[in-house]
Amino acid sequence: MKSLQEGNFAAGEQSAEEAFQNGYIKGWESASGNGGNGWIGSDADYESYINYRQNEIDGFNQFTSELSGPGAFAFYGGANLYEGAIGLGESIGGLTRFTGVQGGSAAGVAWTDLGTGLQNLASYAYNDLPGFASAIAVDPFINAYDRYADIYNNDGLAAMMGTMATDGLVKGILEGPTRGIGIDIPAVTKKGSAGNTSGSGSSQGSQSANNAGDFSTPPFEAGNPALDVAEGAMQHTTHSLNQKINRQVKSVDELDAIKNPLKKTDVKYDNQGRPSEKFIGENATVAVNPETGKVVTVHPTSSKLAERLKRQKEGEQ
Amino acid sequence: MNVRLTPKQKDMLIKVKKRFKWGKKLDFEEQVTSIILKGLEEYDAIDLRELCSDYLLEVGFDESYVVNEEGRTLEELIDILYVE
Repeated sequence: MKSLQEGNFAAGEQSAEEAFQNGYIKGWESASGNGGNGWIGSDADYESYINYRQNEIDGFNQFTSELSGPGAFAFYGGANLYEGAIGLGESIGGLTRFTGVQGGSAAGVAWTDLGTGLQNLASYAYNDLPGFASAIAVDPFINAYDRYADIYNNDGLAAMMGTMATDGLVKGILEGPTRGIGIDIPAVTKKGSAGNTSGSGSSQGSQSANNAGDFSTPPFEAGNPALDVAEGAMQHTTHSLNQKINRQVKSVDELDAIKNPLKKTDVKYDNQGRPSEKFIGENATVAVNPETGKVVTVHPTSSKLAERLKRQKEGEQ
Repeated sequence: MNVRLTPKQKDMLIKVKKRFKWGKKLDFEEQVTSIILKGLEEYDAIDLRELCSDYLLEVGFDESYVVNEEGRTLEELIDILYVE
């Protein structure tokens, strides 16, 4: 089996969840500047990468939205076959997650192939499943890190694992300790360990990353579930993460909203009895379930609202 | 400012206005393919957006925090009513 990551990340030897966690840790470490030998160099331009990835998502969504008739049948049939074969039991939504975030030239080729040969896609998937998988799942770092391209293009399972890992990677970047606002990495809770020991996060994080598949608790669930933001342990629902990416809300602005809100609403309960509170920051507004600590949704704050709230705040002081 | 809406978005805005007893008038003009919310002041847009955001947290998510149909419409309104 080929290794996706030097020494420790063998495709097929870990679950998709573990791959996701591994990617998350890499993203987290890289975003902290402590990743060193992670998938992203310390000089990586995260914003450009996230924008790039978003373009891929948009391209994919555009592509699928234009499918109809036999083309749609072939595509979704092939997609379901792909997902069924990799055993994740995920729906098309899952495939969208896998494929909608991909990039690189192979993705372009895949889209072209799909666009020109939709009628043949189902048989393509059936007859050459790894080829199908690798065509639609490409390392989004291909331009900068094409040493992985060969792996992804030749191993469908690796492609899937790599995709999960890069999904995690982006989550890690987005939630990573700050991309420059000076918060230390929270320690990663490893199986059998006592838990979070913030302050020594850098070394522990690196160590943990070298032991992928050994996590009882993912790093983004370590610490106080009630929004342990001071340690950067912010968690997102899938929806809020999508909104964060789509709306290009920066992690630093999310954290600022929670740490220094211009306004914080009272806790309110939804029609299912779950609490939420809204933190309106200067650049981002973040809604959080205080029981779970999860960000439920996020959107940019209007600068005019921010100005108004600042004036109100100054008036109160 | 004028804001172009779908019928769903219009209905949702009316719902939000009612839910939060928002006192301002919403002036809709029905057109062939869409609805125009006319003469919306910037600060009103900002307030409405926040109310949509509040309502989203009340009704917008299913048990797994996946956005439901109402939530989708509210998220659309949050984007539409964004004033930089």
